[in-house]
Amino acid sequence: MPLSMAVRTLDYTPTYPTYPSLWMGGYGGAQRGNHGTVARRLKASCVVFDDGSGTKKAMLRIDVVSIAREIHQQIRAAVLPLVGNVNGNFLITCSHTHSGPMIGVNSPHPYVMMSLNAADISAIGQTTTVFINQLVALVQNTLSDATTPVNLGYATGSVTIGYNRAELPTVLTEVQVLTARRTSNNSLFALLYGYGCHAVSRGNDDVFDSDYCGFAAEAIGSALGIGTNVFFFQGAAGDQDPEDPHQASQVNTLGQRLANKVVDIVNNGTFTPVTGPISTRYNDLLLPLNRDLGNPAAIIELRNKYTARMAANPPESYDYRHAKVMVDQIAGAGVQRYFFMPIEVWKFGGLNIVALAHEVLSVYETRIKALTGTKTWVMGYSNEIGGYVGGDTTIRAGETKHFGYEGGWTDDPNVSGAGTWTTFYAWAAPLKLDGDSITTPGGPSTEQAIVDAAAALINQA
Amino acid sequence: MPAPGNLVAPYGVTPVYPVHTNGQLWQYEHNDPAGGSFTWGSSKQIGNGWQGRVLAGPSGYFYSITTGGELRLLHFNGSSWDPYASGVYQVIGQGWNYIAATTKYKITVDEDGVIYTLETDGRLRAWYFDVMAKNWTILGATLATGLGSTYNAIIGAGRGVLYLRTTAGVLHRWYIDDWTTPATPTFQKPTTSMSTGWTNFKNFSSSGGDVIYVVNASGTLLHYKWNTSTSKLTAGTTIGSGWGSEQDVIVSSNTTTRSNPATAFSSLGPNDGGAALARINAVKLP
Repeated sequence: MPLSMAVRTLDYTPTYPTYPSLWMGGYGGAQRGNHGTVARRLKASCVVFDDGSGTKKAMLRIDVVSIAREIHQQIRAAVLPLVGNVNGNFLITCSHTHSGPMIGVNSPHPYVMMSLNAADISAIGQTTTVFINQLVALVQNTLSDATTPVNLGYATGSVTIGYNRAELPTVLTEVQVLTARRTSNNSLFALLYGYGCHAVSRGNDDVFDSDYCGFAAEAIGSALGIGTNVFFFQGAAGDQDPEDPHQASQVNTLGQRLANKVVDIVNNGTFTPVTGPISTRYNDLLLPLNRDLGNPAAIIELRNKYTARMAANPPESYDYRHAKVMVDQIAGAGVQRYFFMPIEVWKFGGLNIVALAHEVLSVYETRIKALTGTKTWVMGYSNEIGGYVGGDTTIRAGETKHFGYEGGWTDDPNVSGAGTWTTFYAWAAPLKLDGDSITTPGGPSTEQAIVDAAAALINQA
Repeated sequence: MPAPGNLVAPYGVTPVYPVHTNGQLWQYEHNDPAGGSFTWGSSKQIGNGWQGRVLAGPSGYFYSITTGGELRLLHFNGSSWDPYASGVYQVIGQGWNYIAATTKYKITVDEDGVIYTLETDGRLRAWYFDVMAKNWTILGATLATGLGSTYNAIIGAGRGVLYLRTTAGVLHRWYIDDWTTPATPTFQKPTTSMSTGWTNFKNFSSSGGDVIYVVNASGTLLHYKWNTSTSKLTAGTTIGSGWGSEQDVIVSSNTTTRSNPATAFSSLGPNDGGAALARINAVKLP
């Protein structure tokens, strides 16, 4: 079935007063706001596919560290009527650059992250509204654009720009490249590429920067003569860090290395055809936490632990601030009890795209790629980002691996670990540790539940 | 399922819910649910208008029987009441007549959320409402007959465990044995005395694992638990006074257990691989 595409890119780099807040997201600790310096522009892009089925499919990719569930849901609700009201027909992914704006006021939590006051948090909320409106308009406009008939081709290569920071053996090196060439003259129309590595090569400063992946996109666009029609999709990079040192010059170094590989693949790689129709699936998988936080007894236990943590830590510490948020939530509307894990699959002829929410660790790329002989591109940071999703090894290890950061707990698996992801994303407890298979009482493990759900979507008729 | 093991209290607390005669529902925190000592945390009011009969199930689920006999399912999440389509409750039955003094203790909920009733015709029946699918999966399965003149109260106190009070105030412990021969569970109904002197006790409730909270005739709140050496209930320990005027005193039904806590019923539903349903279905009478 013939495919056609439309693409648009928006430079959304926040400036005051259009954006009421320029607080930055990605690193906790000291308060961190942009003061006008921009190393590389922050972009949002929409890629629309028309496979002739009568309903277009849209991908929205954004240079931003994260969008939380409620933001994802707002964008999705606005876009869905335009894509046939089918969840699978709309995909959002984030580059996870840590040198962009803080979006959202709940997860990550601005007070926990930067000790911001109510007025600052309110400004972030207003910035979030501007951000959402711009993105929705971008998708609406792109869906209205005329499409260009294209032939798609897929190829992969390998390059190393990082390492596994979570004391795990896997280092992601695969580069995924999907080219769209005009059917009229075979010229390159657009290029989608993927790689799995945290976008933190710039390091912690107050400069807006799309990081290595943004640098690479610009370099690729320049080398191949397609300008801004180069779109980066982050992989399962929860445990993947770029090579040290993380500083401004490293953005160029690593970005250029990645760009060189992509250009090499385009010029010398073996591409296989990717065809329509595109079949899409979506599952809002519900992952349990390690404590049943819908149980009043668990909430009492939790309140007691967080009250004790507040008493044991100074108010300026992460631990105190997180504990206070938890105690306040318990006294108010309640803590988050479920961890939703949207999984989205786009099946082309010759290629499956499996897009996972959150900061998934590399084990998911490895396991999901092993599910099928068909070429599979695994994306992370898709649709919503509300925390890290480790494999069972990481989740069960607690502080014995990388201080428990990706596992979410340290010495007590039933409560958020001080200084781990559950602190910054403002969760009360880590993901479920136990379970081995679907038939075991107690249910499958977190890792198995995700892999099973992905397999079900891939195999769905 | 494996045989019952040692008593554990996974959360270190059992929420105790007195219902005042003015309809106020409160949450108290008993901080020694396995030991039974006088150790309490804070308390707070969590509801109004709770007339009729109130039962606490596992993991925050409540069953409220209105004065009109309507059975309602509710869920308290520790901070607030979860929403249902019709508000904060779902109507799941009518004609549940367990309000009167002669019938209010003839209904109970066990650790897995199985409801048991002792009917006026002498039948012991089991009911199971699937809180996730929101439908009944066991609807009044008869487990025993001819009990009407022998027992006047029942207490679900574990996974398939029931204590039955005789008209003489003696407790018997019945249980479904699904570990000796797992393929063919049996309903064991011994008439050995587990405890005596319960004639004037009221407001029975269990937190699971053979732990029973009960108010005696002078308003003392007592904590009983299974003595593994004697295979009887221990003498009750006093954990409160002035509880005599409450309309109901109930406790969450799965905050103590003798089973693997990983298989405990959660607020998201059962995690026992279907064991509770299988257990009931295996021993129900034709």
